[in-house]
Amino acid sequence: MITRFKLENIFKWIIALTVSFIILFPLYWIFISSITPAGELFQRPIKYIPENPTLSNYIYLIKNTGLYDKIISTFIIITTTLLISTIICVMAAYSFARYDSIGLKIAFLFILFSMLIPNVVTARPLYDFMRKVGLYDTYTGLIILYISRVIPFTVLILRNFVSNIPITIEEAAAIDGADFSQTIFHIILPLMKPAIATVSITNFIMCLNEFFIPLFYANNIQVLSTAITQLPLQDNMYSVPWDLVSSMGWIIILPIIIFVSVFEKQIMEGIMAGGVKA
Amino acid sequence: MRSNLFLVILLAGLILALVNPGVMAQEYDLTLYSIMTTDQDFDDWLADLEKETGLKVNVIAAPTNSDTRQQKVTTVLSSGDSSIDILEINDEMSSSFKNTGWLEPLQAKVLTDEIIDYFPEGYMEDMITSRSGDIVGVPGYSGYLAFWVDQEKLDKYGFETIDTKEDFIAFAKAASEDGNFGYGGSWERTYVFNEIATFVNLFGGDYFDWTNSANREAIQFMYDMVHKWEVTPIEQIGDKYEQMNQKFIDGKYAMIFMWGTGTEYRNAGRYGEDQIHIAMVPEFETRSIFTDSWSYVLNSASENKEAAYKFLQYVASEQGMLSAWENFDRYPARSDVAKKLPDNEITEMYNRYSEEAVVRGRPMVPQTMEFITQMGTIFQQVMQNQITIDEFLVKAQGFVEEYK
Repeated sequence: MITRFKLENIFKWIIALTVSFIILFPLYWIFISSITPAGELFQRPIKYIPENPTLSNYIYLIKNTGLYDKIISTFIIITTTLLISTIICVMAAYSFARYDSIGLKIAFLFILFSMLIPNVVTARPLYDFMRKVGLYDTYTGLIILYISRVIPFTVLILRNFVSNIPITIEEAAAIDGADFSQTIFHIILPLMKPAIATVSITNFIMCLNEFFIPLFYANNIQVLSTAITQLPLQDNMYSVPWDLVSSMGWIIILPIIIFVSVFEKQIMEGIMAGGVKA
Repeated sequence: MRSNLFLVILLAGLILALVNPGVMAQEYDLTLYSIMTTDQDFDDWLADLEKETGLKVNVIAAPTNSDTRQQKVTTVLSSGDSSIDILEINDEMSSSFKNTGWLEPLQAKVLTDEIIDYFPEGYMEDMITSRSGDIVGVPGYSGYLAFWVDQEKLDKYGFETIDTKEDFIAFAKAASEDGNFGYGGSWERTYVFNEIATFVNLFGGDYFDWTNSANREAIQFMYDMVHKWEVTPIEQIGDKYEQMNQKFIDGKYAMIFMWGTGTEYRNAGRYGEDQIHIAMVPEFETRSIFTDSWSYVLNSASENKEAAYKFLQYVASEQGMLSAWENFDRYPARSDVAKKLPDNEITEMYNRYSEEAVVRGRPMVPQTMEFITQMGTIFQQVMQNQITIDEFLVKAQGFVEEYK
């Protein structure tokens, strides 16, 4: 006789397998498309395992699309963005959480509001501005824009996190003789580590996926995310080279998978810590 | 441990950012915004160009995705950005930009009287000549929306050629059996534009005049192919070229209209005299065919115009056209150069197209993509019996008046 416990387990497995399938099948499909020759991509009936798998698409991309330069540019922009934005956002989040004034409230609302403005609305004026101040197509300009992209989300998450750290901890530190900087660096920052790790990882993925900024505000500096739009056109100039698109897709996805695998523990800790405190 | 690793990665990136000298350390004569940079022979083409012109060219990869590319190019040109000198644009962008003043006239220094007559006159007038008569682009090649047939099916059903409308219908009917269809199309709402316009041309109509009875005949013909003769499937309203080509390769279709020189069929091992091959477009009321191109244009805001003229003179020259043919398989836009190509079935048929068919540029308007989408939408509606052909014609004329 099947017990209730077993039924629950079966149900959980069905849910887990269904969710896994929904998430993993598109990845699998992109992968097999990337190793399927172009002439077999749209065959009917659909082949779920390629008959003639090939790595030629990957070899083509490595040889012809300047991948190495794109990876270096991406690495430079993302790491610098993460480092600077984290420092700025931690300070901002602490201020927004611990101090109370009309000015701060308005500033916080402005930051939140900026999340709601679509990129395309600001594209043209920002394009002119970047050119006029000499930041167009420079690492500095791109890093500033990437930082501005991640700040609202990061500040929002970190502020909520700091708000949930009891003020009594800081008061106890003050009674023990800690000054402001000691309180920040020895008390608050260690407590914020899970949240910082989580937003850093989320921001890393967000930056890696960022498409609009490098497309619009750079020409010579090219990153991985825009590479997917720079694949050779087919003979007829109108068809999309789906085999190459799939291969490039996997090249872009791979760092995210590696990064999340390496830092999985921190991501889970951060999410759970945030969940409990909220 | 992992947190430390994360920190080390961040610091490494920061250090790299600080020591990186930037990517524009080298001096260039001009900057080219090209869609061909990821072609495996692009470097050879560029080497030819730099050797012949003495120019040092900075190359920027343009997005090959059409929407993204158009947004970026529009931003560059409309903002007066001088960081890009030469751009490659397609017919859709030509239609949008040729009257804006963003592109430099080229008839005085590049497309001079000595060479202009070698370019396809109709195409030049329709696509890259502004209202004020300025020619604003150098076509990089000539492509045709060619007629392709499957010889195995021609043999099977006893047809030698498809030369007339009657041949077309008879072959389409004969080849429609066992789940296969005589004619295949790419009727996705933005792609079907080419085929609607092709049939309108074949019937001698005018895409910008839907009161013309020939236009009605063309739409009726396409409708009959689906519903009366059942020689083409309604399901193809979801198909773009990739799906249509795959079905053609798989033997689902017997004939199609398609751009290019058959690379997809070669790659699939289905190209050849006894298999899929290019053919002369049939004559209905007329024997019409569309041509297309990507043109090199000069940004009016360019600060390197002399170098840019030199570049454009090269791509418009015999040497430049031959280099594009050798490296990119691009059929020369200049008729005199095209005649010098080695004979093969493609060059031979392209020559016949230019000599025997009425070669036309596609009917484009300044807001081409919006127009194409609207027309494609109502075409799909009429094919699905959601509206009548009369209603289609009224709506089509409305869109012409709205967008032209």
